[in-house]
Amino acid sequence: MIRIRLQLFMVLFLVTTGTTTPLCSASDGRDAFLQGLRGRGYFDTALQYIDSLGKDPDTSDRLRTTLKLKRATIWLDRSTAARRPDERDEFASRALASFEAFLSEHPRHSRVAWTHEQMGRLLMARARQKLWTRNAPNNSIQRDQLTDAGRQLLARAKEAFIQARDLSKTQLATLPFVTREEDEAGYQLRRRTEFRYQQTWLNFVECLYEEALTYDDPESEKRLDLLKRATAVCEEIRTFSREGLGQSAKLMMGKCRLQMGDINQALGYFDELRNQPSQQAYMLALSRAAQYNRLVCLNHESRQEFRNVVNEATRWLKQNRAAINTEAGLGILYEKTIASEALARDEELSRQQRQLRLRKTLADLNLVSAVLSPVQEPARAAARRLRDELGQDRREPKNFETAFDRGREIIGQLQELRNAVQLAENDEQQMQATQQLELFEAEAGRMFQLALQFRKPDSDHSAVAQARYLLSYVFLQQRKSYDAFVLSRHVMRRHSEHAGETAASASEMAISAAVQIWAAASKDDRMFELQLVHEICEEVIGRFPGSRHATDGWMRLGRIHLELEQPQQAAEAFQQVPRNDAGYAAACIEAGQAWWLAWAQAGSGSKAQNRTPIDTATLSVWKQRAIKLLTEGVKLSRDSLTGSSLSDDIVRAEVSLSSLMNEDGKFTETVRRLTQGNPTVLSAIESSDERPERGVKSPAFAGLCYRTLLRAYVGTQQIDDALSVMRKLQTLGSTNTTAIYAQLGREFQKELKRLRDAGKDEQYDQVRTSFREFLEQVYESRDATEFGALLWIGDTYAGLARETEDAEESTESFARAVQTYQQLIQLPIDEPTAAGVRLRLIRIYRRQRNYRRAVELGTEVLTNNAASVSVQLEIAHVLADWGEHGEPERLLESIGGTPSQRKGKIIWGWAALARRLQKSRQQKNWTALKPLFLEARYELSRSRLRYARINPDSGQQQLEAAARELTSMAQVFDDLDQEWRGRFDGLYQEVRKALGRPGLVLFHPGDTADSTENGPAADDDLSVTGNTGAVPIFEGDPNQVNENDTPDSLYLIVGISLMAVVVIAGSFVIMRQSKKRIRRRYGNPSKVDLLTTKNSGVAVAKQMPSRRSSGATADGQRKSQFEESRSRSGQKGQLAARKAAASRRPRDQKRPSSPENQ
Amino acid sequence: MTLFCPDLLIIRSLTICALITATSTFAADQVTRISDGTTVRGKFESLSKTQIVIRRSNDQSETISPADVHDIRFDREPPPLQTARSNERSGNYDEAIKQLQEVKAEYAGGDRRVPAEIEFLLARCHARRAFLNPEVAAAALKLLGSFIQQYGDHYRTLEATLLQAQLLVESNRAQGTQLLEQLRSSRVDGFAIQAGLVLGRVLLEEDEVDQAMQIFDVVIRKSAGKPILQTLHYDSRIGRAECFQRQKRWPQALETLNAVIAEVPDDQEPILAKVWIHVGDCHRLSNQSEAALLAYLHVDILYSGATVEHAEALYRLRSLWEGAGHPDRSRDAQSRLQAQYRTVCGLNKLKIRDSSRFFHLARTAFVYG
Repeated sequence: MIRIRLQLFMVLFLVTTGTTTPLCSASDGRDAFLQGLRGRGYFDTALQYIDSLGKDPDTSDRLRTTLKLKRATIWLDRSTAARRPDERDEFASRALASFEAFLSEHPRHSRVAWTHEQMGRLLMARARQKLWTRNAPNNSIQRDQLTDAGRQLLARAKEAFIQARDLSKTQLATLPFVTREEDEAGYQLRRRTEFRYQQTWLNFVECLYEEALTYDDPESEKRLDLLKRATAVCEEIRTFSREGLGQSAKLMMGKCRLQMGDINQALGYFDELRNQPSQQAYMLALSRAAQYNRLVCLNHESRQEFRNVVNEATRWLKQNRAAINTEAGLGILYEKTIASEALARDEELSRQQRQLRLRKTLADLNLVSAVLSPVQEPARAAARRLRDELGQDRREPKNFETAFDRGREIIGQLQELRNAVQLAENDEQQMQATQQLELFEAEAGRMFQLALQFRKPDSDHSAVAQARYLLSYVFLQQRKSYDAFVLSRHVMRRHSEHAGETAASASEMAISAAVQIWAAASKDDRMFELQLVHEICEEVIGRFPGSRHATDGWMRLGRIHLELEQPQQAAEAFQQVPRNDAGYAAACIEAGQAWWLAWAQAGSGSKAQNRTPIDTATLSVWKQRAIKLLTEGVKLSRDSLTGSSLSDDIVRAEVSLSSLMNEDGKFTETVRRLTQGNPTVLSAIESSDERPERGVKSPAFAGLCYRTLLRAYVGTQQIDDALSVMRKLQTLGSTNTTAIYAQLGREFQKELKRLRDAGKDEQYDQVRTSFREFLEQVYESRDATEFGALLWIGDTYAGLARETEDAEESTESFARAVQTYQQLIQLPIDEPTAAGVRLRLIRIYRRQRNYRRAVELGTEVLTNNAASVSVQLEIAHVLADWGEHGEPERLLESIGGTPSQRKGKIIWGWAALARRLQKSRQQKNWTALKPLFLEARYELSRSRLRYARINPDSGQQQLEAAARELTSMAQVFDDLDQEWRGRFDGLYQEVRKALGRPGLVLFHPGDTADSTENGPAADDDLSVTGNTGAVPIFEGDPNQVNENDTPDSLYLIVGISLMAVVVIAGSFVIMRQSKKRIRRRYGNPSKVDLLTTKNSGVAVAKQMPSRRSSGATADGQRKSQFEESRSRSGQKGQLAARKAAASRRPRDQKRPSSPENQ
Repeated sequence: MTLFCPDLLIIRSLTICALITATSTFAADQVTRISDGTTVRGKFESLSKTQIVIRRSNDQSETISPADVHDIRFDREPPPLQTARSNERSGNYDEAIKQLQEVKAEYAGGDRRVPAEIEFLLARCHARRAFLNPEVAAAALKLLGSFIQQYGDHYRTLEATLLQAQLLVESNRAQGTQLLEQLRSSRVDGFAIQAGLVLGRVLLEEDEVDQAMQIFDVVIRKSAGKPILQTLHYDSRIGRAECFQRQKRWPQALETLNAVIAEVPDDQEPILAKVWIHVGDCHRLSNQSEAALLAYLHVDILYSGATVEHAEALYRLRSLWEGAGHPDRSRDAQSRLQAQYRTVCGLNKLKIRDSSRFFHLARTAFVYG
């Protein structure tokens, strides 16, 4: 009692007030040692030490005067820590004596107020203990004496608190008002004293409240008076404290209201407090107390909301397991028992159910009775009463056999109760059914525990084993996983000789418990739990080799490995099941599925998932294992089928096997597996009702099965059947038809490629033919409104047309594709989608050499959206091809765009396209645009070449232009990959060849390029004929040639020097700009060095030259800085490129110099 | 006119930084004192066996005793050298040796002070390792001897000699003692006093209590009132108390120890731990179990950071708690001793029961390590 109460007050005092001035300062070694002894709980040693300090002549006076106080504190700690009530009393008395001795010896000590407060708390705690115990039956005679003694102690406590209050008030009056900034120590001292002063008021209120409760008659004037006084003081406290003490006062007011019968108002206070959001320990304690008192209100005779009390208490106890043994927690549990008992008596229950409820209530009361608290005695009394009542029941077991039988009987009823939980129609019903189930489980557990208590050495061993086993089962159901694990493992180990079957059953229980432990563990760290499962499985396997328990062990282990995404380990576990085991077939299937999963995962995502890539040979082995095991498992399972339907495992296995067959092109086998047999797999996945979310009848799995079958039908050229399956797929509703088509298309492409690469021409033709037929049928039966299907059809026909070498077939396929796309455009689709379809058409027209139509269509698209790069690109290709096939001028249009007379051209042409794409170089999407840019640049020069080939007379300029473009390309763009370098280089060779020049490698900057390939700097506006020279689309284009070459090292030195100069120049520019600003604001500061300052003490005065210059303009400066900053932007090899460029630049066209050179 | 536009502030700041940097880089020698922990920066004017003179940036010279050197750094010394020093200070001798050897192999600068310092540090690391593992003492002695021979007038010479003496007293008592006697007459007080302390302990081990007492008294006198020798002063007084202990003059021993306790500041944990262990020993050996218990408890509760003393305290508390009727506390002490100190000083082969010598060796190693 003292311990709990003092703990609560310690929390209150320390946390809210922070006023506890430590008895010992850290700087004093003796104090620190004493504190250390207290902290360790070495109270006796601490007292000895205090004695030794008293005898030690070297002990300082300051310390000596407080020895009695320290002794009192240690006795108080010792009393709090004592377990036995008599020791608690004795130590508390000694503490009190020490406090009193201190007060009498040092009445003016600075610690006197604190001492009175501690004494008050001690006295109040003792008073409460006496008052709590006065209702015990063994104290019935002494009840009045205990009541008087309690009142006397409360009176002394009040006196002590009044003393503490007055002394604190006096001390407070002497303390000046200071702010924290003025005097931190003084500020804190005043705060602490204020808190202590307020705290004494609250302590006083506690005394009034406790005293009021000593008057049992609720109408007693004395009682009411005390409660009113307490309420008034609380209100006063709340006027000067809203937090901390104010909240405590609110709780006290609620309690007073409750005692005065004002339930509604009390509930208001408690609801406010219990719902407060603070997570501070003090506030959480208040919240708990409020919750408890709220339940007291609900249980009040004026409310009798017993159901709510039970529900709230149950919920609170589940959420606050750690707080069950606090005073509030025990109170809540006690209130729950009151309500439960009331419900058990009021409701229309069968006798058995009433008994069960009362027993559960008794169990809770026993828990409350075991711990010292205000409700301990009432709980004990209630427990006695219930025991007496329930003890009249003749069926209460008195021996092992009776208890055991009773337990088994209840076990038999549990399944029905579980069904009731599952069939509950609403939350309320489910809660009641769950509570009922829990009652029975608890009762069953109680019976078995009773039985085990009653067992004797001559009790039936097998029955004892069975009792333990069933108890472990109950624990498992109650999710007391560790208890279940330990008990069942014990049975497995200890009872194998006398009760082998039970021991074997217990092994399953142990595995289940271990799995339950593993499942409940934190996902971040389950190694211990996994190891537990491993160990128990291996133990079971070792103890019961070849038994179904061992099988169960392997299977569980395998499933856990699957859960951990370790299919290989899972497969190895499943494969441990021996052939002669009844579960061998299932194990085969599981192992096969695991190998299939391992193969699929390794084959598809090893890189993405950061796994070590698996070599092809190993993958092949895994695949073969999967096939073998699945085949065997399915066969064995089918052979042992007794019913008329396939199990889900068999269905899944067949589908997995079929997909593997499809991989190997064994479509006939797939068709056989899925459509033949009795029963068939297809029949297993059929459903006339709404499909469930999971299972073989779910849309996802059925779709998988149908897709697998569809593929096989197409592979075996059973087109009608394929279409039929297609329709079934579409009926699944949530299936994305387009995705199915797309997947089918991908599978075909993959297979065609495989056959072609393998040189299997005949098979290739067969598959191609069957696919075409399928496609034909799909086309004929197409839904003209379904965009996805039409798009797929169009794309597939276009793809087939491109790939075939048969011209007729190609033409026909293109025609079909065009037809389909044109149908698509008629659908109500948005413009970007329509543009995408038109682009497809353009490509087909280009293939068909229907250039005019292509350009028309392209112009149509680009008129609405000229910025469509894909279309621009394609149209440029079209024009180029057109130019090569009959109208050479189209090539020029492909270069310069069209219409040529219009400034804002609809069709940009290669040049403008490349230029525009190049501007996106700094954009985030440059990675995606770069290939298009390179293509445009490439085609630009290539178109010139093509033109020149057709028109040799007028093509010379184009060739020159192409050469220049390619040269500048190589000089500026040095971050090309090998492929593009090769392409540009190849083109360059061709151009030079066409120019009649010797071959030259494009990408060696050291080579001196032909001067004729470098013209004057050109502007952005390209001329189609190339008269104005090279394409000036790259800045820094080294068109000027300087014949003199300069060594690298000098450039390096110059480069570094330039950088240094630029840094300095930058500083000067900043200064110059500042000076301009100053001039604007203050007038001309003349030649004052801007670094001169009087205040900083750093005088760096310089005479600076006038900054007024005619040569360098601000623009020029900015341009040079811009160019310099661009040079530092990290282009590789730029220095080398510049060296080469500089060697070609004419002397009169040097770059703008830096300002200092002007 | 003061101009506060941001650009000028930036320029001004950069200039100031440049000046400061220039000042710093101009003279970057530095030495950190043991006595007060302060670091003096400047340029070394002279480095000799008996003194170190450093000229600060304000042109004032400061003289530092080689015995008061906690850390010394030279301008433009290789950065890994500092890492090696840190490893040595944290007891990671193997790593420190490895790094020093790398620095030694790669150093191509012209500062002759650096190779000498490296040689010394290598020798010292080996010596400190040898304190914990006497099997490698021979190699350490060789390195120390080589250093002393090569750098006769070096500011590290005396320290190297002291290390050499400490190692020698274990293997060749006579030679070690002789060396310590020589050091006692050194002109550098710090080393002279340290040598005296070591010699005093050696004599104690040989039960030459009177001689040891004399030496401790000399050390006490010499170190009294000198802040930089304060720790040694306390150690010598502890040594004197230990002499009283050996003579079973418990009151005198306790008086000496209590006086030290009263004087030593609370933050001097290692010294206080040592003192309390001796207080506990005095009480224990004079059959005052309760007082001994309290004394050892001081170490357990207040000075558990002094690992060797804490281990010894737990060792003693085991039996004392048992005798005081607290078997649970005895078990607690035992389990903590085993859990925390199974491998103290790497001497994990020594059993707890046979720990007297273990504690003495360990204490010696930690005192001078």
